[in-house]
Amino acid sequence: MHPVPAQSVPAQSTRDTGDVLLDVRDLTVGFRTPDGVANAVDGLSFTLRRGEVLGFAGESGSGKSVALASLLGLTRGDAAHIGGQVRFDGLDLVTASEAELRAVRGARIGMVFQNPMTSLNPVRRIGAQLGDALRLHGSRLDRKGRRARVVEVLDRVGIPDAARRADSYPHELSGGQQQRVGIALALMNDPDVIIADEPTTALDVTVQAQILAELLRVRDEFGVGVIIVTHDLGVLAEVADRVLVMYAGRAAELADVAELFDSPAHPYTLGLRRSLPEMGQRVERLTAIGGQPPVLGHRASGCAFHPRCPRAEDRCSADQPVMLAVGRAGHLSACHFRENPAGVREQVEEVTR
Amino acid sequence: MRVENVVLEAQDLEKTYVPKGSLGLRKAGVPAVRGVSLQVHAGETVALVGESGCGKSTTARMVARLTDVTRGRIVYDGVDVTDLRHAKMRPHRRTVQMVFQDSWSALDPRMTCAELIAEPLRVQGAWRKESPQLVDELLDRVGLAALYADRRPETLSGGQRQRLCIARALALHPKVLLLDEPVSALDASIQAQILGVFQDLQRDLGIAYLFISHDLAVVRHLADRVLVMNAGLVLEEGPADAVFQNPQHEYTRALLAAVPASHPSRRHRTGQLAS
Repeated sequence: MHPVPAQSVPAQSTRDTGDVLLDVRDLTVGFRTPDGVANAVDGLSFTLRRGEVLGFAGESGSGKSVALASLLGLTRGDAAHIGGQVRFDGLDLVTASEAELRAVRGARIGMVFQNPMTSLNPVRRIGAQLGDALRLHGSRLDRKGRRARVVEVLDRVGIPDAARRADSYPHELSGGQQQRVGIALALMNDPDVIIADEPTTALDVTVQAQILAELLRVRDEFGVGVIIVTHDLGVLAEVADRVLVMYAGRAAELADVAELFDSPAHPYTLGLRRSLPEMGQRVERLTAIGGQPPVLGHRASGCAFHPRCPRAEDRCSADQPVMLAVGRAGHLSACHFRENPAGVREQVEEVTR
Repeated sequence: MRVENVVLEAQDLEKTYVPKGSLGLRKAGVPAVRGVSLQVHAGETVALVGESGCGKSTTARMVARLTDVTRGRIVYDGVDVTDLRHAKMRPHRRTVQMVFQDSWSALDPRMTCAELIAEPLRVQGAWRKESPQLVDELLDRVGLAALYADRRPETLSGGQRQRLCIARALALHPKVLLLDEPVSALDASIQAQILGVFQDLQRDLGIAYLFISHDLAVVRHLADRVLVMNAGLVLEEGPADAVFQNPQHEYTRALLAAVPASHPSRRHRTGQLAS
C-alpha cells in the first residue's frame, strides 16, 4: 500500500487553511410529522476552508446527516421546507436549479457514504461505474482516456493492481477496498469538497485506520476541503482540524479539535467525552448523560439539552442560546454559561460524580 | 486457578462449515473456529475480541448451544451439555442466557414488556403466583420504571429496548450472560448507561459475562480477562491489564495501534498504519 507522506499528519491543529469553500448560513430543514413540521436542522451555520478537515459529531437524530445531504439538495424531495444559504463558488445551493446542482454533485463536491455497496451497482464492473462519473459530468475524454483516468484514480487511492481491479465487480473487493473505490468515485472529477458520512463506521478498526489515512492523503494531495461526519469522537481526534458538535438539529459547539478536547465549553460536549471509554485511562464507572436524545418534533423548549444537563437553570428552559464566542478565536458555544467554561466543567463534574 | 467456581467452560471448540456442492456433493469445509478453549468463573467478565470474521460470534453461538460444535466440549456449571438436545438441553439454558446486538429483532413486537420478561419463565415452567412481582423487580433493576410494563417494544428507544433484553435474560437467574456486541448499536451517551447497568448487575448479583465485542475501548473498560481472536484462533489471552498494556502477539499490537487516539495530541497512528 501507499506510504503516507509525513506531512499528512499535521504537526498542530491550526493548519494553514486557505480560502472559504463553503459558507453555510442559517441552514434549516423541516420535515412533516404527524404533529406538524419539525426542523431536523435548525439554523445551522459553518464554513469549510480549502485543505481543512471539518468534523461533525453528534448522536443519531442530531441532524448531522440531514444537514450534509441538504447541502447538495438531496433532501429536496422529502423536506417540507429548506431555508438559509449554502454559498459555494458564487452559487447558493439552497436556491440553485436542479441542473446547477447536478453540475456540483459528484463533480465539484464528492460524497463518500457509510456503505459503499449501496452506492455501487453490484452487476457492473467498478471501472465502468467510475467512468460514468466522468461521462455524466461532460468529460471530453474518449473511452480510452476515461479508462486511463479510472486506473489512475484507483491507483491514487491505494488499490493494488488498479488496471486489473477496474474490471472487478464490487462484491469481489473487501470492505476496505470497496470504501477506497467509494473515495475514488468522489475524486473522479477533481472535487473541491469531499463530504464523508460515517465513512469508516462499517469497517474494522485496522481498515478504518487505513481509510482515514487515505482521506488525509487525498486532502493533502488534492487540497480539497473535507467534511467528515461521525458518531466516533476518536475518529475526529485522529483526523479533524475543527469539530462541530450538533445536538437536536442545532450547533452546540464549534472549536479547533485540540481546544474542543482540552477545554470543551458546552455541557453536552463534556458529557459526550465523559461517556466514552478510553484505552489509555481506565475509570471505574463511565459518566453517562442521563435521559434520552431528543426525537424529531419533541424538542425541549429553550436549550434542547436542558432536560439532560447537570448545569441547567431556569433560563435554560426559557431562552434558546445561540452560538457565541467562548474566548479563543473561532471557539463558539451555544450555552448560556459559555462565559465561564471552566466553571461549567467543574459544576458538571460535581453534579455527575 | 479457581477451578471450583468455573461456571462456563469451552474445551477445544471447532466449527467447520461445509458448503453444499452441486449434486449434493460435499466440498471441503471452511474452518470458522479452530481449537478455542475458555473458562468463565463466577462473577468475572471475559471478553472475546477481534475483527469481523474472526470467529468470535460463532464461538459465542456454540457456547450458547445455538449451533452445533464440529468438535470440542461445552460445560455449564460442571455439566457437559455438548450433546444435549431440545428438552434435555432446556433446563441447562437457565445457566447461560444471551443478549444480542440488535434488540429490535430479539423482541416480539406483539408482546408487552411484562409479557416479554415473563416469557422465559413460562417456557421453563417456572411461572409462579409471585412471578409478576419478579417482573416488576427486573424492570426496576435494569432502570425501566414499572410504567413500561404494558408498553410494546416499538414505543421504546434503542437503549430502553436493550434494557428490556437484559431484564428478560435475567429472569431465570442465569450464572452467565453471553453478551454479543450488546452496546454496538447504541449512541455514546446511551452506551455508557447500559455499561453501567452491566456493572451494577455484576456487583449486585455476582453474574459472570462472556462479552463479545469489536470495540476495544469498551472491552478495556469492562473486562477482567481478554481473549484475542483472528482467523478462528485465539492468538493471545490474559488479564485485561496485561493484554492491553503489554500485548505479546503482533496481531494484538496491530489491533491496539489501530484504535483512534482519544486525544488529538496523541494522533499518529493513522499515518503509520497506512503502509
